[in-house]
Amino acid sequence: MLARWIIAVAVGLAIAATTGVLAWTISPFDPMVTAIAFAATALPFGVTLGWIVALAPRTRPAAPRAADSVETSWLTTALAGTATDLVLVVGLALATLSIARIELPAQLVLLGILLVAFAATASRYALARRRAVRG
Amino acid sequence: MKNSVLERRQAAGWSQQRLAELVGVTRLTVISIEKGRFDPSLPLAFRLAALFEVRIEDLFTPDRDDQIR
Repeated sequence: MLARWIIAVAVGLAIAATTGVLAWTISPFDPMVTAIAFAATALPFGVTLGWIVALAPRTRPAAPRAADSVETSWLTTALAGTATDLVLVVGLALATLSIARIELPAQLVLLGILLVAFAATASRYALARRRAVRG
Repeated sequence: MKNSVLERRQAAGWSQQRLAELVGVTRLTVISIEKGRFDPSLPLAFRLAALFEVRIEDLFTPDRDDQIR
């Protein structure tokens, strides 16, 4: 188990170092401080990733069979509904923007699509769960 | 699909959590099956039937809409 913890920390350090070097390379101002800040921020996430890879498979309890779970069924239903929601929202938004002759940055558009997808999936999942449990 | 999981679980004196652990699913799955809101997969239905020591058709009965006409 100690060896696995060492692997997890090593993965974390490698990710932090890589992030730091990358930040140092591309930062226009004070590369050393930027590199240290980025490396320090990335370290906990890196160690967590190392824990997931090296330790979690040995320590976590056996997961319920996904195919048999009602949660999988709710998620499948929610994701199917999300596809419909996205087509509707993107279609309406495209029509509106075209008629109004508004141009938006691509990043903003992609962020909007992502947020709509998250919101649609979360709300549809919550609705399916509520119906099933309260029914 | 109708089922007698709730009655059989109560007769066995198990909680929903206990039954969920015995068949390897979540408690919400058990709740949904008992309420008739979720039709279990065939492997899960077989596990439930084996656990209650009954035939699968004694545990689950199709609704009128599910029957062949």
